[in-house]
Amino acid sequence: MPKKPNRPKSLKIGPEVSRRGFLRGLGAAAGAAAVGAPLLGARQDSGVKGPGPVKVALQINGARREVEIEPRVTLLNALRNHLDLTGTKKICDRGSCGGCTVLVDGAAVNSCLMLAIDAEGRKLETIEGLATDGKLHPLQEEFCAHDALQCGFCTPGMVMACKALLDRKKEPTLDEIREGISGNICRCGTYNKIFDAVRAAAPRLK
Amino acid sequence: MSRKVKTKVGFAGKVEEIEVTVADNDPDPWGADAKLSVVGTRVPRVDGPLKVTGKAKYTYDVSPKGMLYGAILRSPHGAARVKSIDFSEAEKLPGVCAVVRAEYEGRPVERIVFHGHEVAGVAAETEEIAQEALELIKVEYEVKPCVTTVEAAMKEDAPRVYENRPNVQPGRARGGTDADGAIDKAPLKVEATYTTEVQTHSSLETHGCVVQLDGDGLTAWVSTQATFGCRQEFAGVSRKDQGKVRVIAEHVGGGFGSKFQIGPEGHLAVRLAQKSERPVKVMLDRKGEHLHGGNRPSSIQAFKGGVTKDGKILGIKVDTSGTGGYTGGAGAAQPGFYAVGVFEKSETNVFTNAGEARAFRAPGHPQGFFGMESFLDELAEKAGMDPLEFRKKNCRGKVHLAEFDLAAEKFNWKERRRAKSGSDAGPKKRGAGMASSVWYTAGSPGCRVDVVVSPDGTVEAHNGAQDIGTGTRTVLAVLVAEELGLKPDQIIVKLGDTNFPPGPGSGGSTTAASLGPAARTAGLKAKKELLERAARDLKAKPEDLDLKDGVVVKAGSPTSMTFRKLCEKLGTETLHVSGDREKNYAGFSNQVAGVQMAEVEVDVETGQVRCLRVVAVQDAGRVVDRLTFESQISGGVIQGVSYALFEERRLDPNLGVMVNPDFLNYKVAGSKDCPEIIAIAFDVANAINNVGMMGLGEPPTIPTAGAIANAVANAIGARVRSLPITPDKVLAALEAKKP
Repeated sequence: MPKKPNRPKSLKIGPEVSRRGFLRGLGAAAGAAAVGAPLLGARQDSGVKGPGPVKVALQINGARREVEIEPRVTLLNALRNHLDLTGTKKICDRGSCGGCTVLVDGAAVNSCLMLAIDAEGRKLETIEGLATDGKLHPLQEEFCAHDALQCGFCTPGMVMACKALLDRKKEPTLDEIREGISGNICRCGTYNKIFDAVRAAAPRLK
Repeated sequence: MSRKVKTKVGFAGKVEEIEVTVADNDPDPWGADAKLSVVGTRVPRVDGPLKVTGKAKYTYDVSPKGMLYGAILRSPHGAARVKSIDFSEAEKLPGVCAVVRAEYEGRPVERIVFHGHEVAGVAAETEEIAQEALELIKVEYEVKPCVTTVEAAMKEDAPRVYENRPNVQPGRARGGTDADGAIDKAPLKVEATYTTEVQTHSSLETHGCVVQLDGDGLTAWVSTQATFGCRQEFAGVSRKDQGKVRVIAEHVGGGFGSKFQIGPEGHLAVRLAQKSERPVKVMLDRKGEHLHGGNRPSSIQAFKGGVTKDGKILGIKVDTSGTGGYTGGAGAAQPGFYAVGVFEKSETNVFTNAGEARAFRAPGHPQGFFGMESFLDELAEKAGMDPLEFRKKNCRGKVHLAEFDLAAEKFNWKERRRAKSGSDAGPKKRGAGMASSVWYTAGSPGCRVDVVVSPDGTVEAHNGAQDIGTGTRTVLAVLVAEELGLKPDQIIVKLGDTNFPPGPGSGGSTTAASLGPAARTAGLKAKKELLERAARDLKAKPEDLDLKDGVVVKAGSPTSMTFRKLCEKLGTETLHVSGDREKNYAGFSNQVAGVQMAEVEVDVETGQVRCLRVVAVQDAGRVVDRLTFESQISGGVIQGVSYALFEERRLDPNLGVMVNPDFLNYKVAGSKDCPEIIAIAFDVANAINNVGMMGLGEPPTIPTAGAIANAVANAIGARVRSLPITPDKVLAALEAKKP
């Protein structure tokens, strides 16, 4: 059985800055840096949580999910390691590849740069929520039809970034598509096919 | 036993009949005139829906019950000795279940030879605790001098990577021995040296595995290109029989040559699982992936060549050196398929304190062809010839010759190639360049595909090898569907599990071409078995029946018997047939040819290079799926653009530390860097196996860097002889040509 770790207090970094607070600051800053993400208004707590596991309630794909995790756990790790939502991929874990892209209140965010506790009260969408009633979303269909994927490891992040793009731009130009997924890396080199897939999906989503 | 079969081979109207010797178990090869319904069409990837919904389970996504998260402590120094190591604080951290020293051949790693060298491993209840535990391990290092560049490592007094071996390892000499004589006699001579940097594989799913000990057995989920090779290694490490070890790789997040072995992470996972008595997942982080996930060695290629005034090459001599880090493997492939008169070359591998080289998509070729194709352009210039005409004059390949013309037409070479470099108005200058490739594989025997048909009409195809994203699963579905008269998405292809029949490691572009013919054979066998069961009901001989569009066809006309009804005749039986992969025949050619042309735009004020357009003409024998074919070409080209313009592992020369082990500072091509890509299949009927298919994964990335380098030279009238072609090098080349 998993042992419940009892977090030692020595984890605090200096007198004022706790590890959690430090990481939270990072999460908010990175969120703000993501395309169009209005994250500066992240919720402000007065009470200090942790460092041991705390209850976190998340709104994921329209359902409420509760999870008990340490406050330092990123949204990405919470999804993958605690909620069995492994569609969101971990690739660089440093906000530079877009593989872990999820939508937070409709904006594309690198979930490796956001703490799960900061996602409380926000509307989260992951790749698992895109297909409804077993029917693929038009973007997913066009990705398949145009073969906009190879190994598939960047694909969930790409699809979510493309969805965020099409949510805010109904008819993106080629340059706007390039810009829209410029935070996502594909090592197999599927980009051109993704451009085609997005252009084919756009009119279907109007 | 075998038989002689006449079949038609060739390309583009130049078709001839040849006789091949075919094994009795093998169907007749499909010739140039074969009438096929699914093969050669555009078929969407059969695992697309799984991948776009996030349902595809990769190794990284597997978490058996009770699993612990592993993490690896790596050396922060380029060269050092581990004096002491203290796990006590780490072991005390709640949630930590096992801490072990990294071992090499059964002994703890003491001598550190590169930044990132594994020192210890941890397994803990969560990823966060495992990471924290790493910080609590106290290691005392005796730091030693290190060496990071080929030039420095070749010096007499350079620090040695290995105490008992010199850094310089003279490698192979090839070709003739009197190239100097031939070059001396030539009226026109050129000398030039080209260099390339170390490129890391950077697969998006990092290396790693999940190891679970079950009684006397072991199950490992591995992000690998070689399930069966990993099974053998895990059996050795855990001292178990191979029959008790199962390796699973249902989906693999990229494999470009670095994922053949279980690696130090596999060894650590086994020992952590043994010590904690729990399943353990060890996946490299991105930094670990850059440091010890393989790389393409660097190269320094010193060329010398002689040519006649009308452009015939008389001789080429090339001396290459490079570093594969702490391992060998540096080498550069020249001269391709060109007729170069007398050819002579030497290869030298130089040890440095850096992570190991591993096979990387066409090992030796992108670097060798960058050097060779750049040099061809310089020879052409000396002879005053157009690069296209010069290549055709010195070309040995008949497929290449046809491809040169096709590429020139589709690319509009005459228009896009600048007669006078730098003639465009304004600071942005355009230019065009070309290069070519050759590759050598048509798959191999030693594997088997099983087809299983259930009474409800479900068809499965099984093989234990992996699909690393190339589309193997889809290719097998197409081939089985062709024989059974079904659609590819009606075939469930199960791969990546050593409980299935043996399959190859995915190296040398061999997987699809090894398994494809076996899949066809199995599909055909299943068809024969099924039609025998239909014959009595339909009052026909089995040989008069066929399967097409989901129904049984009698003497060319569809009957009312659907495939499903036919399968019901199996009763309670499940039909299980096997297709063996027979040896290749002496077909049309055992090589595939490729030609690429690139257009670039160079800003002479900033030095920035953009690749605008690439036309890629590629032969892969018979193209089974044109959609995934295009994806392979497109992906190869984009990786080539990335290699040509961006990628470079940078080491601090004093500390031996990699300064860009991430995706922020190690640049790989992104969405804004992609040229327009026109991928053209050059269909060649090649009866080298029963399908006629050849390897495709590697060749399309070979020519791109050379074509881009030549295009840059055409655009600005100055040559950058060093990859990646970064703005500083472009500006320096422009500065150097100023009078």
